[in-house]
Amino acid sequence: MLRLPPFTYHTPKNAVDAVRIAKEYGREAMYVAGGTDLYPNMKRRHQTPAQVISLRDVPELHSMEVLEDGRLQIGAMVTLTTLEFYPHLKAHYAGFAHAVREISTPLLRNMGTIGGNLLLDTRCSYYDQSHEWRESIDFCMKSKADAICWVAPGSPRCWAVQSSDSVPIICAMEAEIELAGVDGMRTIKGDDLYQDDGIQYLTKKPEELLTKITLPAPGNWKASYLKLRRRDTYDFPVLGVGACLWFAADGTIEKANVRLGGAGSYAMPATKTEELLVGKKLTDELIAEAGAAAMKPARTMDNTDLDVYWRKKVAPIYVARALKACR
Amino acid sequence: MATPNTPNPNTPRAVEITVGYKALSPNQKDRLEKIEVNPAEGDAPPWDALTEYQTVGTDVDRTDGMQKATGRAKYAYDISFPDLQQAMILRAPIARGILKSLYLDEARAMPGISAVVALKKDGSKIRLVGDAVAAVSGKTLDMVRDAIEKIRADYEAEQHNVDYLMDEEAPMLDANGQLDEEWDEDSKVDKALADATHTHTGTYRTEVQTHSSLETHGNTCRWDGNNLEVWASTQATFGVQGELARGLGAHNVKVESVDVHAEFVGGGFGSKFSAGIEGLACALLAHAAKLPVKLMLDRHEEHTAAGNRPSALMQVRGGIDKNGKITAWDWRSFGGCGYNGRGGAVRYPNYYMGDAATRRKHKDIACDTDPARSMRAPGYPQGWFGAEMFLDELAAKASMDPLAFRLKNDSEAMRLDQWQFAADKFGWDKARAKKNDANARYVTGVGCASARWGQLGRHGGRRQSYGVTCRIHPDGMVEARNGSQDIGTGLKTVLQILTAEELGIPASRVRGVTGHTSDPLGPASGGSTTTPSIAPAVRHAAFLAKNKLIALVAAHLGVPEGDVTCANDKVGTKNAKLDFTEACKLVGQTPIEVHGERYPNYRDKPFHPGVCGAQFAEVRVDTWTGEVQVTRMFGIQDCGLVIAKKLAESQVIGAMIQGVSYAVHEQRIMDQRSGRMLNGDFLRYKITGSKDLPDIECHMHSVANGHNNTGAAGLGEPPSTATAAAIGNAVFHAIGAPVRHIPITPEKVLAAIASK
Ligand SMILES: Cc1cc2nc3c(=O)[nH]c(=O)nc-3n(C[C@H](O)[C@H](O)[C@H](O)COP(=O)(O)OP(=O)(O)OC[C@H]3O[C@@H](n4cnc5c(N)ncnc54)[C@H](O)[C@@H]3O)c2cc1C
Ligand code: SF4
Repeated sequence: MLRLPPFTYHTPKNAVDAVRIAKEYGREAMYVAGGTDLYPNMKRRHQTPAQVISLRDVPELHSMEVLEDGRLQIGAMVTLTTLEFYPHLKAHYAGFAHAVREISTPLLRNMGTIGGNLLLDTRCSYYDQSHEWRESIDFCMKSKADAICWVAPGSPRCWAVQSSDSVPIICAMEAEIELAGVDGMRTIKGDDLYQDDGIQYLTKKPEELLTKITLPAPGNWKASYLKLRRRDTYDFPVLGVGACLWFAADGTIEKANVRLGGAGSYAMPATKTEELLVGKKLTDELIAEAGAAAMKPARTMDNTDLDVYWRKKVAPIYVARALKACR
Repeated sequence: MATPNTPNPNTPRAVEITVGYKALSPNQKDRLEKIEVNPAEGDAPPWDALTEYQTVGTDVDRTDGMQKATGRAKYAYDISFPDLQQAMILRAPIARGILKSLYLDEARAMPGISAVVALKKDGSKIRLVGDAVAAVSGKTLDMVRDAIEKIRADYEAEQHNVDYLMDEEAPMLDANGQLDEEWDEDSKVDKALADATHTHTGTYRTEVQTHSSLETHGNTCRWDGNNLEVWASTQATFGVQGELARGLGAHNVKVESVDVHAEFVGGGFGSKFSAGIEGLACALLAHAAKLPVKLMLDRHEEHTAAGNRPSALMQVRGGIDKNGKITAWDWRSFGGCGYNGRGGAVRYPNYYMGDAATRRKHKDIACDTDPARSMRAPGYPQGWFGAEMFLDELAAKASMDPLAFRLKNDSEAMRLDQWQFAADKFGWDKARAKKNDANARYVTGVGCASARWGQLGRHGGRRQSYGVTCRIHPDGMVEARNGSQDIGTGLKTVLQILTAEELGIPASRVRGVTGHTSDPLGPASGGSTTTPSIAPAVRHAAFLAKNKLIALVAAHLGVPEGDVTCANDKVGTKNAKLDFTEACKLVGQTPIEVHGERYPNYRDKPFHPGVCGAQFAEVRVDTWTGEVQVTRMFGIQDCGLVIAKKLAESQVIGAMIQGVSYAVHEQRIMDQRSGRMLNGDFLRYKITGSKDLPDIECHMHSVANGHNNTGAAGLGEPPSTATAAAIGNAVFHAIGAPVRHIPITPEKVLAAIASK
């Protein structure tokens, strides 16, 4: 039996209080949204916050609003189910709505939030195990600084995998992330929330609260997400391609963002692919060529499901499909 | 004192019955024949192929379906008492070595702890990660966890190996995964191969499949003096009773003083015959604590220390003559087993081989993992995968259609009808003839495979025959009871339907009760024997009860008993009839209670000694990525008399679902360095889910075998033999190259395509 470690449960009524409590307890405190990632992690003793700050009663995190300039602002506590069935999302953000639908299962989507999904911990076969399991291999670097990495024993870093389905497309769409800290609010680009490290995968300060995600107004762009996994029924992605293309009136691609999730510790840009796309029209030949260029950046490791070489090999096909869906 | 005029009950009386089955479709023939059988004196007269049923074979709902769906069903997991103690097992963290020392005192002194027992002595061997070392019970699972963490166990680890193919006993494989060793000489087989028109060789592999029962192993135990009451998640109530009595012999426990209950069981698939170390530990803890104790395994323990279907490596070489008849069949196989090196034997469908020169060799190989336990047709799905895929490859060499090839070689007449019927339903000819475009990204393919199992039921254990109690209550309710367990296969519903049929009343009036060792003896649910073993006793019990009721009604109406019938919910003669419930009022205060006996099967040759089936599968393959989707399946299956149609279909469809999962998804991943399972949970041990399933259809084929008064045969296991093989063959058809190793994951498909 796995069980939760003991903790004190806080229920602040606004964002300012939430941040204040988080700051006060420092490393001891963590936020909880739906708890579908945090609680299992706590049961496995990945994180053992003595102070758990629930965001359930913070009203501003539950809102969803189309801004005057057409952008869509989503509160961090909006559940994935709410998003999935929100008509405006389906109508104007089909790619993102699809990504949300691909997350876990209906039951988990009822609990899980978009904020929690964006901040999902990185994953690894040797890490997502019970404390007792990991103790018997004397842990790995992600839980114990002086331990080795079991996936790449000589490696000085951790390669745990970015596994959230919404992150690649959020980054590709250049959605904005609003963070509340002790010194007030700041807004950053999706890409800037993450960094290439299996342990310190976020750039934000621990007490910073993710309050809102703002999606760009519908316009001359189209985004898509494609997920690879063993079972359609439910599985974390072993590859998640987020793509967003901006088109000129004549169909020429003005800007292209392609992010590879599940293939590294952050949603990695397929830079060569992006470069190939810009200034051209999205023909079948271009799609194939741009897809092929995505093989190199995919940095698959043997720490998640399915064959490691195969995952790299099919990255081009999935990227091509995601690009096609942007037509 | 025996009266001279009573006939000797051992003198058989011959009865003529009709066995076989009616044509499966208009373009087939009836297969009916008359045979003479010798029922025991006093048994119910046999049903046969001409019997017209009211309830048997209809769509009666599972009698406890609502209870299960609404959560009212109480499984071992749900049993609770005031003062119930929770318990856990401390498990070894090393795959191989010695337990040097075990210190339990600190755990004993922890708050809320009621008992601590050692399950291993100092110096005992540790044989796998997860070997049970000690067990603790206490007020809450949290307290037990705390105490478990205070147990100090010191181990001396030894070099381990968790991959049977790395064992020095294991054969060598070449770069393509083909077995790379000389065959021993065998003059007969060698000659047959030399004379064959076409020959072929292939190596096939299957991987470990865990049982993954929804309810994990475990039980709740309560003592009262020397009497022990156990609520177990088991597929052998009487087995657990005997095993615990033996295991607890030191505590002055006898078989009669152990009572086992298993009213609802969340699946077993062959893994729950034994009380297991968790059963014994629970009883010992409850004894020491003098309080009731519950011990259920968690999902990780279930995946890593509660048994599995072992992996297999098989190589076949064979040959056919110019007519497409198999003339040589040379088989060698290896079982990839757990630490005890047992249970890996595989079987192949020998009804294809006719007069061919055959040879069969098998060797089990041990490694430091959880040992094999029987799992739904032990050894069959593995062997069928190898053999049936080999048949398709051989047929391809001779440019023969795989179905035509099977029709030529299959020696079981019943299956020949099934092949043709199922092929028509599935649309085989058209699907098989469809050519995939040479440059198509998505290709489709179809394949087929046979199913087989032999079980007509047994009459009893070593000392005692099986039985059923039937009670007719004065309020018109009827009860049929047997002490075996219903593990989801539907024994309760079988009791209900057969009793209703015999009494001529609606099934809703009958309650089937199972899972208490205080009721008459029944078998363990293994080998698909439960229904075929119990069914005749159910009928006999209902038959005896019916006769008692008829006697009461005859006396009441003042007519001879011979004129009274019990049918259509009425009891009486042509002219004077009582409603069944009215008739039951004549019973008085004490219900009619009779004991039905399971007589041995008739000695005469049955129509067929087992059951047959055939399955067809269609797949769609993405040739760019290698991803396989099973899109459609059709199965036909006989099980002797089809008693409960819906439940029977659910067995077949369930087996096909499990087979899809086995063929394309499930894979146990062991980490060689730590000796641990990397995916011991339901997120990472991939069982096929609803969105990944094909359209599945099945046809139940009811056959009168004429082997006892009812004629039921085993059903749980047979349909699970064919599925993976049919899917493997469909993939072969789709991509034109065989993927000889399940699960058929995309990288293997791409490798197969590249090898063309
Ligand atoms: C069986 C299973 C399958 C799953 N499958 C998938 C899948 O296919 N794809 C996928 O993407 N995910 C999957 N998940 C993960 C998870 O369910 C989702 O990512 C979910 O969206 C997480 O949201 P949550 O609200 O439950 O997060 P929580 O668990 O509450 O939080 C996650 C993390 O974010 C932090 N956090 C949450 N909200 C905030 C905030 N507003 N500000 C600052 N920090 C915050 C928490 O402290 C915690 O560290 C799966 C989980 C399970 C258990
Ligand atoms: S990648 Fe290495 S360090 Fe990171 S979690 Fe996995 S085993 Fe640990």
